[in-house]
Amino acid sequence: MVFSPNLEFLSGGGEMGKLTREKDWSTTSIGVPENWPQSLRTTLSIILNARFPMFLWWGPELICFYNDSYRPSLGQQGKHPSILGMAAKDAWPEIWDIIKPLIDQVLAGEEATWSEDQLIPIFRNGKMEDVYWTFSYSPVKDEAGQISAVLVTCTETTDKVVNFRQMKESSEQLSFAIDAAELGTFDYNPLTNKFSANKRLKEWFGLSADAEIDLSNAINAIAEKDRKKVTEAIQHAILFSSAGKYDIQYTIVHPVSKKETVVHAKGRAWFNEENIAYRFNGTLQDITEQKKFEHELEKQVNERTSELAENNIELEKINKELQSFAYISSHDLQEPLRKIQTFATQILEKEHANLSDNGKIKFQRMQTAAKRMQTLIDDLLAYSRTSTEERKFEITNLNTIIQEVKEDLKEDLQQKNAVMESDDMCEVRIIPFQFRQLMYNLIINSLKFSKEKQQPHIKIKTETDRGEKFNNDKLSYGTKYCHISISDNGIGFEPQYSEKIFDVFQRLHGKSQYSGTGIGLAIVKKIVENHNGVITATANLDEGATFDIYIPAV
Amino acid sequence: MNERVYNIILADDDIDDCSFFKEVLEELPITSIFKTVQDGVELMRLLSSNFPNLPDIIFLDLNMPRKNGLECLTEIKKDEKLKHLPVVIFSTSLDIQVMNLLYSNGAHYYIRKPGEFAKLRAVIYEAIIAISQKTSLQPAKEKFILQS
Repeated sequence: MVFSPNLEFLSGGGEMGKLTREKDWSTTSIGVPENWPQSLRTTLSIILNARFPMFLWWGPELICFYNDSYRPSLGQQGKHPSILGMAAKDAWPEIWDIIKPLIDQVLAGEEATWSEDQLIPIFRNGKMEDVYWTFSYSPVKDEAGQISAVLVTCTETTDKVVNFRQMKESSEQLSFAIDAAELGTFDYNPLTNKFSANKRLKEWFGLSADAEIDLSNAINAIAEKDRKKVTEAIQHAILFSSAGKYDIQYTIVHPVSKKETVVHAKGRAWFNEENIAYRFNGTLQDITEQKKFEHELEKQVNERTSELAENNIELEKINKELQSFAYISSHDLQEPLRKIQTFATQILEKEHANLSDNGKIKFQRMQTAAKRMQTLIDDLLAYSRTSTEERKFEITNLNTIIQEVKEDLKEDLQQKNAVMESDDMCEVRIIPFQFRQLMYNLIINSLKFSKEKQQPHIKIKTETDRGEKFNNDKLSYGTKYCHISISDNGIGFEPQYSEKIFDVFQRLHGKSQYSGTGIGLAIVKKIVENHNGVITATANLDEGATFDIYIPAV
Repeated sequence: MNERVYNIILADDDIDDCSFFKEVLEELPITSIFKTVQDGVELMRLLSSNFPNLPDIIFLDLNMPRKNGLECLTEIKKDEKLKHLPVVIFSTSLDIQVMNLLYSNGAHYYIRKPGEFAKLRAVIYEAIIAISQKTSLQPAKEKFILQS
């Protein structure tokens, strides 16, 4: 484009230069550019070609000019480009009250203004926006030396202000959080050995409110017992290899009041390019109350534990007394019973003929009752013996035990025509005498509770594996057990009795139906317990029973 | 018929057991002089005062007042004049450890008092016969317990 030599001052200037050149100025109070005074021309030339945001209000009406650098501050859908050539009052109605006094001040010949990060909301991007500016209004004089315009050099600082405000807010939130959590904060410079902290921390340590303290002053307020530990932890944290982590609990003793504060300190060190710590900061949390509570709790737990232990000792004593009572009493009960039985046999031998038939029947029943009492006493004695007798463990092959029991029960097995099956038996660490009794009781039970019209079949199996492999939650994880299972095809029992059958005197059948005292399985259970083992019974009515014994393997 | 006269002492504080024993001896086909004492102190006094007229067999209960059977046995076996006397333990209990102790202390036989008169008779007879045949020798341990 070619300009008349007169308008050379409007060349360049980018978009705003173009808009200024193309605008029809004839309708404005300053008229066409050809008639503009030199001072305006010079000023405009500077503005349009400057890379710094500038704005100009010219003449009595304060006609608006601005450059490309200023243009972004007007945003989209705002004043651009309509305010070019407009009177200031019409261009900036929303802030006229703010800027008018400043403009008047400059026009009145006072010094240029300076405003930093000043909020001047303007209409842009289709709405009123809070915009911050750092700006200066300076006077422009015309050829006559009169102040005829105001030059605005400005820069928008909204981002800076907003960032700063956000930072301030976060910092306030942080300090609020620190306050709310009653945290102490510290900041240590390993390079200078200087240490600063918040008020709370300084109170704990009894430090003066001075901005910075030597670290050693703080260390001295740490309880003697913890001092070395803390120093070492700090030295470790400021080593690059430690990744800067610091997490420790210690006690602070106020140097004057001697008040003790137990704290939980957490921190981290920051390293420069040479991997040297230049900063080490963090927080301290007062855990005095928490520790007190923990101690109290611990004390109470200990008290309860020792109480329990005492109770256990007492219980054990009572239990032992009870057992020896059971032993002694059943032992003593034998005496009169034996007499009754001996007298009875004497009568039977010598006086039987003198009894009436009814007398003979009653006499027979008396003997049966005495016999039953004897069995009861014998069983009770055997039961109490399993807990009072010396326990001598021996490594034994289970097969030996089973063969011995088979021999003992030879007649019963023959009489019932029973089949006993026992495959490879494992070696077990047992009290042989007791285990013989256990097997005896279980096998004789199987024979006793066999089905009338079916050949009794007793199957004994063993396997060794870890506790968790068996379906029994009473077994310890990782411990090796020998599992002995004894199953039969007898009359079984209803599943709900699977625990009850091990109780002393527990019977599931009438005495006339199946004889017994209800002690046999109680003895079995006791023996298993003497071997640190577990026993369970599973059965269904008329479908046989299985006893599973688990004892620690050899 | 055995023509020998057996001099027998029973040390037992139980009157019923003493009378059972007496009845047994009356029924056995042997001739006997039978004496009972109620406790160990009485037994030891009798043995020392009647020397050299000593019994042929001593039947000894274990649980007695003042001096028990084990104490008596130990004393008898330590006494040069008495140690040859055969002692038969006559008791209710059947404790393996106690029985071992009794055998090693020199008792001849062990009778567990049965609850049947016929058995009592049989076992006492067995003891008397066994001792009369083997005099003062202690039998082998596996024959220590007499059961009928």
